[in-house]
Amino acid sequence: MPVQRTPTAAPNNDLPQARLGWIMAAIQTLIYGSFVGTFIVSPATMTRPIAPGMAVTVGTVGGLLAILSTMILTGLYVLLANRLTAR
Amino acid sequence: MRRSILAVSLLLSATAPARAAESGGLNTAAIGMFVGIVLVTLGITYWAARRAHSADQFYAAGGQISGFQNGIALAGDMISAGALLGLAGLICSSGFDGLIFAVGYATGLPFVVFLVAERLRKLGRYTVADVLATRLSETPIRIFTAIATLIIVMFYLIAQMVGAGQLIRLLFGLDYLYAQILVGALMICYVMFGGMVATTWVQIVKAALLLTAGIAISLLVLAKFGFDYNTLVARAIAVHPRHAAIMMPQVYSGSVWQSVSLGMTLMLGAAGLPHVLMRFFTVPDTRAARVSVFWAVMCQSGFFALIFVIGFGALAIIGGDPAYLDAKGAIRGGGNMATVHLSHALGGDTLMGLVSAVAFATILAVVAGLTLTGASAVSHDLYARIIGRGRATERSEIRASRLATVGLGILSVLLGIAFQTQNVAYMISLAYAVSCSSTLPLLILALYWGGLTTRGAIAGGVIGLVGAVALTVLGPPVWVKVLGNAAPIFPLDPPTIVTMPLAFLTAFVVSVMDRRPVPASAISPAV
Repeated sequence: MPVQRTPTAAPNNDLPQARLGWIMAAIQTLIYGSFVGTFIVSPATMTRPIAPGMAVTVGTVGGLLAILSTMILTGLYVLLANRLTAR
Repeated sequence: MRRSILAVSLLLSATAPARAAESGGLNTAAIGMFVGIVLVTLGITYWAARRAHSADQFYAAGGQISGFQNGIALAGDMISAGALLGLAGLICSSGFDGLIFAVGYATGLPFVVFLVAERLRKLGRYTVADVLATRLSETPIRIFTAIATLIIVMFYLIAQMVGAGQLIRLLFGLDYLYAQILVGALMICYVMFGGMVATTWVQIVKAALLLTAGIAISLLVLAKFGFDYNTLVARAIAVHPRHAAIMMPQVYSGSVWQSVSLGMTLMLGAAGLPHVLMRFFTVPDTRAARVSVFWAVMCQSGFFALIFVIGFGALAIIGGDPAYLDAKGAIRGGGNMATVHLSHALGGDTLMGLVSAVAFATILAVVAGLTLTGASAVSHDLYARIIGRGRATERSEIRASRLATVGLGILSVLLGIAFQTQNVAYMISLAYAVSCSSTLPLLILALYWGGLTTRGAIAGGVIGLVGAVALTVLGPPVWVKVLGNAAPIFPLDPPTIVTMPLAFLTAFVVSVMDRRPVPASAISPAV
């Protein structure tokens, strides 16, 4: 039994989660941009060890944090958007 | 149906062990897992085939995939064999570069949830073109979107097929040519008989295997270094001939434009990939679409975080072991073998067999998803909506998609053979560049800007698509590395930083000019 799914007409920008989506996208761009940007602008910062004598660099931790941020931001978005649309 | 599955199983049982015996001492665990995966996936296909009779089932699994299931399948689509095998290889050869790609790919999926997933689900039925056609003139936009989809899908498919052929030859001793035919036959079988239902479940099985294998390898790597990540990284730095210099990504050694362009492509490419976008039509509603991307991000980002362990682990453990290196000190069998060698070093033949089989399952699942997407563009957008003008019967549309599946399958086998010696990674970056410069701009503008007109969309899309392909051909990946010229005509690889803004700008300018009020004299002829 195929489910009838008719597409609705024009998009509406006033969905409550639309603005939230753009804000989240901006934050994500900022985080990723600063990861890439720091490597470009100041490579020495990113290749520096996190503590004297350590092998793990600032860039490695930065990369892991950037990946972690995708999980946190997405989780936050889903939480907030579900709340907004439930109203 | 039953007969075809039987034929494929026969082909398998006839070729794999025979070849194994010929080359001698092949991994029985690998062959066992390999046959197991083929049987399980064919079982799924057989089960799905009884359900895939309507167009809704074929293209979108009837909208009955749950958010969680779709999320796992979506993560499966995003983590291709290139991510599993290629990134660790890249870390072995050039260090931090592999992590740059891991971070970039991980950043892509959140954009899909923030900006497109829910709207896509709300507006579309089966394909991306459905969404664009809700507000633009149907015929031109469908033709363009179908072509863009096919181009992206073909680039991606070739990369997967070439990787599959080389990998299967190395792992199972099966000749490259037979490997191509085997992968082609299996993927045609899944898609043709099982449609989206089978494709989704094959993807779910693969994603579960992949994550399990990734976690197992990471734990074993960490255990070797007393669960001290710093010791692991220190060992990796000590082993690599360039030592501490590997912590600086070489991909950022070029111009700033080059680095930014690569960053943009990795981050935004996923949001325009048709086989990723098509996943959102399989869930019941927008809420499920949102939930599915949440699970997808968890799995995908989790996996890319594991690359930080697996990649340095591969370098630290096999980088210093002559058993896994060739005379020049490079990974034996090429960079794609790094993860496989690592699993051998950690868990002997059994783990290596497991990882090889997971890699094989990864390839099968990803090529099946790509083929389904390409076939949908042909049968739904081109055949049913354009040629049939929306009057084609559901039966004939499904028949068309099955024919398109076979056609695409055969084409990808032929191209897989033709491109045998190509570098896999560049094909993917080309697909990403096209996605960033054509489908993504159109989708974002169509979803968020009321002023987009059909002419604007087509102009922007065509400029972006042609620009991305042309500049890639004139750039380092093709002009230098394939055609053997000394210097590229266009310096950036990928060209996204030029082509994506160009596509947005063209679409904007043409739309605005298109909507210019018609002069009064033209409206009211002298009364």
